Amino acid sequence: MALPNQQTVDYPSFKLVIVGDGGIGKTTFVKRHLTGEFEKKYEPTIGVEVHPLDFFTNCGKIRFYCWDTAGQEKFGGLRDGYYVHGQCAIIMFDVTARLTYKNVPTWYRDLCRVCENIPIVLCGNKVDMKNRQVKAKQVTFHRKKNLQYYEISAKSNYNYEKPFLYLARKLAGDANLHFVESPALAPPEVQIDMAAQKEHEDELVKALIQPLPDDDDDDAFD
Amino acid sequence: MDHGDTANDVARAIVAALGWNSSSDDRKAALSFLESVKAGDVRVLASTSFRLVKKDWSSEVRLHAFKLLQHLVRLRWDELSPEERREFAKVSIDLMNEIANSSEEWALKSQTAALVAEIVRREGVSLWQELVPSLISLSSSGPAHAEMVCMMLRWLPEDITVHNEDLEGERRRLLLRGLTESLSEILPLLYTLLERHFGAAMTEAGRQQIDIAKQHAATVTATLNAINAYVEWAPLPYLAKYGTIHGCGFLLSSSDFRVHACEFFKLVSSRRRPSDADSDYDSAISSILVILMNVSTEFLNISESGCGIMTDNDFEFAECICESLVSLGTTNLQCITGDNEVLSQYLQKMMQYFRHYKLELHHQSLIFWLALIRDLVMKPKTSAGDSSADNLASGSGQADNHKQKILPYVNDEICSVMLDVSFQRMLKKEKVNPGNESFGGALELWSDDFEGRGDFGQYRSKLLELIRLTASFKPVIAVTKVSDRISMIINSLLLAPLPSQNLAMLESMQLAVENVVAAVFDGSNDNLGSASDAQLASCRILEGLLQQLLSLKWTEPELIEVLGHYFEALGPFLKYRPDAVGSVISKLFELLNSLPIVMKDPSLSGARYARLHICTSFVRLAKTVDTSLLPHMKGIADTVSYLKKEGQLLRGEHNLFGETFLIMASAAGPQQQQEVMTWLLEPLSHQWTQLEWQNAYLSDPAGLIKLCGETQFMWSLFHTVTFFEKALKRSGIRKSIVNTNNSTASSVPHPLASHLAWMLPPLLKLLRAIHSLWSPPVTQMLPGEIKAAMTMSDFERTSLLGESNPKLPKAAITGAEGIPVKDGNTEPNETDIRNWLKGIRDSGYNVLGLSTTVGEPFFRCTDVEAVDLALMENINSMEFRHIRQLVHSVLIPLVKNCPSDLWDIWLKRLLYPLLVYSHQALMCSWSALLEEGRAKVPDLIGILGGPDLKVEVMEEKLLRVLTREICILLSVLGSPALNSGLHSEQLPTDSDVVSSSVVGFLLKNNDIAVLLLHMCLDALRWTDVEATIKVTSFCGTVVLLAISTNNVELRQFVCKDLFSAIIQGLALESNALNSSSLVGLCCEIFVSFSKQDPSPRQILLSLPCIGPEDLLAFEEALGKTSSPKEQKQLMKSLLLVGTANQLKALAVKKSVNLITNVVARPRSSLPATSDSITEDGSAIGLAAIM
Repeated sequence: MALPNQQTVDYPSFKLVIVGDGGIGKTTFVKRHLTGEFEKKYEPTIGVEVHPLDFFTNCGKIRFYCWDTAGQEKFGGLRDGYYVHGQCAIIMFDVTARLTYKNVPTWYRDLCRVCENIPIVLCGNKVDMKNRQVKAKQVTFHRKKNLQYYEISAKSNYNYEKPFLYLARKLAGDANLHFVESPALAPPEVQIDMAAQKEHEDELVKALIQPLPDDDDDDAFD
Repeated sequence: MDHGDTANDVARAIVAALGWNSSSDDRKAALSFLESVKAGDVRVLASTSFRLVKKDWSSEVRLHAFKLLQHLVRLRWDELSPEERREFAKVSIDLMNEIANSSEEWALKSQTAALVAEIVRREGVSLWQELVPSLISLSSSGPAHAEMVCMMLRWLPEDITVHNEDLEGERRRLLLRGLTESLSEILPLLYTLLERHFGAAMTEAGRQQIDIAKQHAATVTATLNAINAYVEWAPLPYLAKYGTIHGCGFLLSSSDFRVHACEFFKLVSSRRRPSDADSDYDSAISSILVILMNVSTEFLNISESGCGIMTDNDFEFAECICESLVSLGTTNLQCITGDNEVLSQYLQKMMQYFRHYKLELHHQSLIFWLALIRDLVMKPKTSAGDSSADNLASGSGQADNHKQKILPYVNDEICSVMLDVSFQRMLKKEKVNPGNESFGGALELWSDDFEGRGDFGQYRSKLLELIRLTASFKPVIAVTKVSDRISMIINSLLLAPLPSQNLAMLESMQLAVENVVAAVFDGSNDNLGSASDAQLASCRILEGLLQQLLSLKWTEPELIEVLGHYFEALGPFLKYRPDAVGSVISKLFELLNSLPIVMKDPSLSGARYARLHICTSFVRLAKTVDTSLLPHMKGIADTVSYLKKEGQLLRGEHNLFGETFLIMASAAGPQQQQEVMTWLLEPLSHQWTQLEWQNAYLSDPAGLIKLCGETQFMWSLFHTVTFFEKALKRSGIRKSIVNTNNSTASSVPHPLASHLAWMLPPLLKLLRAIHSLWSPPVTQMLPGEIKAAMTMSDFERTSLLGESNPKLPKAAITGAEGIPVKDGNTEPNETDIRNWLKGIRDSGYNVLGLSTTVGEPFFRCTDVEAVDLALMENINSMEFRHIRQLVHSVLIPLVKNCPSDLWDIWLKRLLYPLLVYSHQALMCSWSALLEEGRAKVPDLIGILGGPDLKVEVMEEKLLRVLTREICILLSVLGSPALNSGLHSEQLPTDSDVVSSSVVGFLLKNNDIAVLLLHMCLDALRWTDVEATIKVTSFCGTVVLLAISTNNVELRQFVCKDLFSAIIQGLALESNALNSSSLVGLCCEIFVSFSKQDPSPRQILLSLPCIGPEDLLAFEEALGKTSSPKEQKQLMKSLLLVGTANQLKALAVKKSVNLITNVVARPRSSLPATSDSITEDGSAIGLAAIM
């Protein structure tokens, strides 16, 4: 039961458990890889859904079986069962909902009591939203527990690959491992984003003129 | 039913629920069955679960059975009799033995240990004391047994010290005390296990008994994990006394366990020194320090000598050691400074880490040095007049004592190395060209590829701070170092075939030199009128650098730009060497003239930017060099006039020089300032005030379309407006002057007061014409080019989507507009029009806003009708970002500066249309966002066809930004400065209120009052905390007004609508940050009005879980205290209880039920929701939202 009975593959595969409160975007995050679509409606996951996600690295292909678990207690009660034989994990929270960050230690505890010493990434989701409640500098949990932290946005694809890359490096024991191509079916916005970002940076450099020392500038309105 | 059958059923249900391919219905059925067992007969639950943890079942079933048992212990323990509990505990401990005997998988061992920990936690100290001996004896039965004991010893303290939200205070204290009392048994046990199993693991490994060795190793790891569960709270002397420090220190030399063992040191080093630290504490810290230093010596020796191979693992370990040393330096510096030898060695180690080629090690120690130098440079807190050197040590006590001890060790050599390394590291890897790596030494430079260290900007600003602090600490060394390095780079550039390739190197030093010079010549001795010795020495060194810079004959625009930066950076030094100023000015003009004047040739844009840059160098120098530039004013003016006449100066460049004169003039006194102002502005006013262009271009939309075709003329209009804006900014009366000498500020007329009359009327016409472009009938008839130019630019979109510098758009415009089309034939294009529209809007709004700061002359002499037409005529067609800008730049300053006797003329007229439209537009957008997940804002309609995620993100941001700005306007209206009448000691009369409180004045006007108050109620419903914080402050003023006047309607509004809206606002989690103020307002309303108005009580009674007796108890408690803080606390508790914890903004403590899967309390246990009907039978309605 540990691994879904999907077609086994002839390249390395790992069980990845994704945990965190309900409604923070775990399912959306996972599905982003498969379809490139941003899930707009929210339907709580029941129990678990398992998605095989393939990535192409300089050392060959690898697969993460992502166990997307229910974050709502009313469907839970069995959560720890999903963690058995987990080889790596993502703990997610929603930067626009403080409570979901406050619950991170409990998710971490439950996970650590089933999986011995696995690599874990902490992800703050929804960083695209303006009504952010958990500021980046308030996120300190990972430091104490030696986790890697990423700010992500399933909506705008920001840092989508980072958690997977980190886990792949840890699991492969190779700090220089890198992804050689975008994941299958990645949405095209990713490239556009990058191009726009680059253009934007170039513009920054070009525009040069640093703000002038006009110290009366903002004072005028105070 | 037979328990065996139940076990089978439960097992099947677990499999069905966990199976990834179970159907949704099967899964739901299985889950509900499991829930029924969990909630069913407790004894059946216990016996079934104990059956299912046995070896016969799959790991998933067994694991879940353990979870069921843990659930029982945590939530249903009391349902068992004392005998049953004892039996339960005994069976569980036996399970530990059983599971250990049969080498089970890790998860099951862990859950067994967690079960026993849960029992201890539930049953309390007595069981624990009973249990310790049997645990000790169990641990000696073998490595697997010991491992399980360690797991249990790890989970127990974790669940008491960290995951303890469900324990009430007293029980938590008792458990912690019990645990602390048994430390004298636990810690020695852990030490023994560490020693025993490490030894055994090594021996077995030596004998090639790999499996056994592995089990022992697992026990060592479990022991270290257990130790780490105590390290943050067990008294430090215990950790020394029972060998924990020693044991973990020993394992630092074992490659298998060192990273784990180092975790201990990381945690222990970051513990704060307690105020009652004694010698035992100090000696424990010393032993930790010695261990960490020894390990460091070993690592650094190998690493620096280059013999021996370092792996990633080695560096990871060293990082952890270095981090621990840094922590010790911050938390326990006292222990380090106590011994000179130790202190010197410690600093030496930290320096070795600082200059280490590995970025991460350097970065760790950078944090230490920064903190240390910052502390050393900070002025001792001695009282004025008593700052003799002798007093340093005694004056501010211990802290300065440490400083005195450390100072001699932070010597010239250390500072030199620190500067060298910092300079080299100012460059990031991506900027280094192949072949030039040597400039970074062999250092691993910052790279964008590195993970998890924030961005380069943050890192660089740390380096710069260190450079600046070091420079003020050791000025001469810093100046020498920085000028040596720059000379070296310049010399290498001179030899290079393509110098611009190495530009990055030169650029990287520009900020360094700027910081050094600013620190050395920080102006602190300006009043003394003379330079210090260090400054004189620095001057001599910088003189050399200046000569070198002056002699450079660079012609490439990029290099010229950097050179300009260097001259700017030297500004503070030039202030001390006025005789050198002249040569710098000549050089700058020489550089400017060496660059070609270019128009729209993209290949020459480098030259355009460089020219602009050189002109801004004048602006910056005028700021820093101050009065030393005055003697050169005439010379500069002559040169500028000459260049202009010869067509050698573009309009934008000329404006920058104008700005330079404004700055110089403001340093020269009011008389000269006025003269300069007239000299600069008169030529502009001639063109600006002519009626011909106004009639031709501004009387109807067709005219404006025509204007957009006259590129040269439209840009010249822009330059006039933007220069006037600059003039207003540069001549504003400094706040510091206003504060110190109020009478002077008001008696001297604003230097621009007399110029407003010619500037504003045409400007208002121009703005009115531009605003009209957005009104649908006009938009329809516009040519495509103009329509396209009115949409949001790519730049604006990127900055809405990503993080970008908000200052930039302005700069980008400045860059773009500097293209005068000399022959006037070039076709204007969309970008040109867009930039122009944006530029006029930005500067035009600023001119209006800044003009209001001029005060009376503005409000008395400006035609309000024209302002109204210009700004509000087409407000309904305005886009969100433009309204926001209008409010920010014009209305807020206008509200702040408007004299109270003119409120009637100005505020009513301008605020009404603004509030009508923005309230309606915000309501629409917010309800679209909250209901359909998409804020519809006018800015993006029709830009990008179809649903686009990016559009959604941008829409939401635009909505939030406008919401906040409107709420800021409200908070300005509610600010004490504009409502002084409400804050006076006596109760104000009604006429007082109208003249001394802007809110009082506005609320007298029915139309505006309704709008303002509705805006408040709605804003509390919108999920944007920044907006609600602002609106809450306005509400505070409204409440104050209701308290201090006899306005019945207002009181009713406050008691009913506002009170209820605030409580509803507390139901939004987004309001968490603002919850304290909201509760405060609730409390204020209740305390002030509950006696005269029934609404507050009725509303509280309508909460789902509140009864009349709760309310009575609350009122009684409220009556007993006069402390607002306590009253607020009471209100908060009442609201929390009354809503069964549903006010998310107040729910700071997490509810354990939410996520720990051992818990599931049935919802029916919450109090029933019956009392939500008021006396008159109508529901006030809060029950509905909970």
